[in-house]
Amino acid sequence: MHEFTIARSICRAAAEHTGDAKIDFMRVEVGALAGVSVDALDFCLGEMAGEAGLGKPEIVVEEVPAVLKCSCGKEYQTFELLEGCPSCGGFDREIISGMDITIKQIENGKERK
Amino acid sequence: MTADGKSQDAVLKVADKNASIAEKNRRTFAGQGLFVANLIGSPGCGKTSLLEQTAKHFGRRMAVIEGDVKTAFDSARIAAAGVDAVQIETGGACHLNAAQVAEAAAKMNLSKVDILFIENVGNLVCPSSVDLGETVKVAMVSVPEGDEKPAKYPALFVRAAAVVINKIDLLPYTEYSVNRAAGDSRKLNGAVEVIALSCTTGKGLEAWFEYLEKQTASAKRPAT
Ligand SMILES: Nc1nc2c(ncn2[C@@H]2O[C@H](COP(=O)(O)OP(=O)(O)OP(=O)(O)O)[C@@H](O)[C@H]2O)c(=O)[nH]1
Ligand SMILES: [Mg+2]
Ligand SMILES: [Zn+2]
Repeated sequence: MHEFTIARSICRAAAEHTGDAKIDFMRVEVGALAGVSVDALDFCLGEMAGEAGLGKPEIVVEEVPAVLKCSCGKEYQTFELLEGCPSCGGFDREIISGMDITIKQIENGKERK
Repeated sequence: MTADGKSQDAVLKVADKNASIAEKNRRTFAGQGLFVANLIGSPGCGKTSLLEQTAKHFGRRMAVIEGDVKTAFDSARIAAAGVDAVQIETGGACHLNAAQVAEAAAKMNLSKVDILFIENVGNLVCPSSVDLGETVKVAMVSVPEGDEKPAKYPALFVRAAAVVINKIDLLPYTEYSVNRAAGDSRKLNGAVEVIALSCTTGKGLEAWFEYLEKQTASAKRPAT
């Protein structure tokens, strides 16, 4: 349960990015291999945004698949790490992404798309 | 989207302070020719027991940073095994962080040490994503926990250079399949070293020592 600490880093990064302006919306992506609970992070962000000077934004936290590159050349996305490459069935693959936590979108307009 | 509104596909990678301290630790350790293993496993899987056994082989060539939520029991066990140990009490936190490791390492005389072990707080989730600046992560599981641990905690097992399966003396009493745990570990990381052993009977410990000897030798070679 270190989502609290992560939430603090996210709020700090967001505040820095917007120059401490209040925001309406923030979307955070959590890689399938980040080792973080999406629900706990969502809860912590909701609790902390106000304190961090971000106002009362709508916050969406989303788990995104890992991106793997197989030795056969196939690059693919998956949540199921124990399943082999969809092309050759192999497991000799490199992790391209999936360990990161990323703020994908910040909005401080009145509406959003 | 309004005129005054600002939508940004921000793509801000959340950089935490821990990552930069961890990188500093890593450079320091590499400069000292130290092999640093971050030992991660459930409460009671046998982390301290493994370090006690390892102390019999490596003696003062190893040192230990002990992480626990509370108490200095484990560092006392390591000290009793004749090895330098510094205890970190996290006071509730579910994992060690890089700053705590830097502070503990600074208290130790590591000049004659080849291996620094960091016994993380017993937990299969949180420690996996918190970099301490270690050379490798070692994931430790044990037979009574069941053989599906690698499958259930992929975030740890994709990052672990070695997997230790402890308490194989208990295999006759369980349905545990070493092949399944080892196979899943290899699916998650093709380069992983899997070592099954028992701290109680000593079976399999030789392979663990061999693995460590190999790693310490390569940590000492100056980077090219
Ligand atoms: N049967 C059996 N028991 C073991 C083995 N290794 C450790 N144990 C027992 O498992 C229990 C926990 O061992 P520890 O070494 O304290 O485990 P730990 O992972 O350090 O525990 P925490 O630091 O509390 O997370 C102790 O009662 C050990 O005696 C083993 O190979 N076989
Ligand atoms: Mg212990
Ligand atoms: Zn493939």
